[in-house]
Amino acid sequence: MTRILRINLTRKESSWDVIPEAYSGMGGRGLSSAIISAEVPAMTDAMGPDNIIVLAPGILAATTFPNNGRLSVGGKSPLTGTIKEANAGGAAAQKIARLGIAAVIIQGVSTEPVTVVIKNDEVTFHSAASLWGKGNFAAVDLLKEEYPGTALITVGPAGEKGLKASAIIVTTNDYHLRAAARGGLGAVLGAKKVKAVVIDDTGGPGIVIAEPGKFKDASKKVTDLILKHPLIGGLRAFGTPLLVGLMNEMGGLATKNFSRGKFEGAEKIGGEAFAKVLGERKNAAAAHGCMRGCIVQCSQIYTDEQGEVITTGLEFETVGLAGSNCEVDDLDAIARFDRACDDLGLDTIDVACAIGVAMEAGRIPWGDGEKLAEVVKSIYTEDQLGLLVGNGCTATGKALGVTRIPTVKGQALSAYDPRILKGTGVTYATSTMGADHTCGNAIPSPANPGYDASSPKGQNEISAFLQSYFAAIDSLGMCLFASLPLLDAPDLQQHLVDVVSAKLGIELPPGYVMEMGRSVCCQEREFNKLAGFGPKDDRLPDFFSKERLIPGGSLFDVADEDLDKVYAD
Amino acid sequence: MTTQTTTTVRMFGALHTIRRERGLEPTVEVSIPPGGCAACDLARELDLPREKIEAVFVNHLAYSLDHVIQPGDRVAFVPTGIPGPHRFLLGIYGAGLENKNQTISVSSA
Repeated sequence: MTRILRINLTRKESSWDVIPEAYSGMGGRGLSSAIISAEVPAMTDAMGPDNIIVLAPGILAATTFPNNGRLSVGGKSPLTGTIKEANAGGAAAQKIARLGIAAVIIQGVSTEPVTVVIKNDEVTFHSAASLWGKGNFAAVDLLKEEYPGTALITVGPAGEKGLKASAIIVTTNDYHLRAAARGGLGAVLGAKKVKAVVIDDTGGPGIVIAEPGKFKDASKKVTDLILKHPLIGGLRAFGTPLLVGLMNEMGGLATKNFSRGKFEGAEKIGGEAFAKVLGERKNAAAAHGCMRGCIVQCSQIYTDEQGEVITTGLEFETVGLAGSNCEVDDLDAIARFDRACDDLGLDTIDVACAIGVAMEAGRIPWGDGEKLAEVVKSIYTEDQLGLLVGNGCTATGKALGVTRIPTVKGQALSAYDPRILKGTGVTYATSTMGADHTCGNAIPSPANPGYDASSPKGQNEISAFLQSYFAAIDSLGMCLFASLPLLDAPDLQQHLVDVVSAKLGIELPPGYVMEMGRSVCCQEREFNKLAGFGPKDDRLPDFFSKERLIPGGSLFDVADEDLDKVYAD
Repeated sequence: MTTQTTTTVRMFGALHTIRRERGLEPTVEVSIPPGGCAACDLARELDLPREKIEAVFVNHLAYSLDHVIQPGDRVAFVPTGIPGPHRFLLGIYGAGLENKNQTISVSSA
């Protein structure tokens, strides 16, 4: 990946530049955040013409290294006001990498809806007038007929309308939908009037591996370890909803807008119930890969009783927040909500949390599963409540006069209650992205019995470590789940360093992974500082430290001084 | 085992599947003697395959299977294969701290 593709929507022009020395060896989140830091004024209006969208495959994209196809999508977030990187699986990252592109920078504003087609050395602009207003499923159906064999990046009606919980959708090789969901970047692309970006890697130069033999050896060691790890069997059989039962058992499963940590209906929505449904229904699949070269297969194909696909890739976060946090114990209703969010192009986390807040305000009955998808679909007709939840949890809470709003820097928490998982709570509070469990989720481990997730002490060290580690993983373009087994075996960090070293053809120090990740976080932190964020913003909402969790009575009691230590040096 | 206070034991994931395949409930009530019993003994009594158990949660905290369960404890057997970046103290994090000659300041369970 030796070049940067810059697309100017205002002028309908594109240019190809050799990757600057300053960006050499970078990829994914690290490269995206570096470009945004250099090119986007920190105080700019995220919905205005000076914001950009960056599409960056990871350093290892399109190699034979496993699970390398995460696409980092970056920009300034209209939801949080911070720098933002949201990543997704699918086919786009590997295709962009095979075109020799380290990053696509989309800037300016089109005057009319446009589809941008990137093919080898050519960028063309096509009217998207006939696609504008269509949901992502319909748009993808049309685009895949017109551009077969390509990867599609699309914006749904939510992004077109500028709703701040809007996602950017990426298709898999079999044209299921995945979302770079967090932070409202779909609204940024929608404001630029981009309906779709089509990636056609036909005739592309492919990727270059500087030392193929060394790369193959190190990559094989990592692959073998991942495949042997018991985590893989668990994810394939139950998906991430396996966590529902565990979190409920710990008393930390977000329930009834984070007022409780246990849900009576947890067994009906947990991984075990999920696996049973998938095992019984026609056309369903418990294991599915969202990218080429996936050896984890944590996705699924979730069908209805007639065998029609409802959704794919239903995750714990969606099940927890649309389920227990709304007191909904109906998996089918949650799956239909997930589909509606994919269709409209929305972040299920922020929208589900917003619905939980709307339930607390009395606008929707607790436990009304049918309302979940109904409210989301009402965005098509610009229903007031639909538009409200489409703007996210903070906007919904403020508009409805709810004081218990589970967000940090304007972005909603995931379904892990921070009064039980205090390391995760520190990550929610201090992450450069706003509340985001993927920045450093500290789940207590059966393999790590000495760690007490509920202790207020020492969580800042754990969160700081995890935030750096996952920033590095995001920069490599590696799937988070494939990276977890590496945490079990210290010597494998060296194999991962060897893989990157062989890819780039440069010697890297043993601490490369953690140092790179820390550097990415610090750069993002600097952008946020220029955008007006400081220590006062690195806090959880008050109610987590004042309202005792039921049952157990826990509070989030990590000291502010500890929160400030995460980025102290 | 002497009949004493009833304790609820839950089994998740693959352990849940095993129980269902045997026609048994994945959540059961058991009696724990006053002096307690080791989690591994309870697992044996429930005929759970040891290699499929990663640990036991007792009153919301994770323990190895030699942990002694007391009457009235809240117990859940956790299978291998739970996702989460949770092994850091045994992995890179621990190694990194060792290199820096630091100690891990996380309280014990």
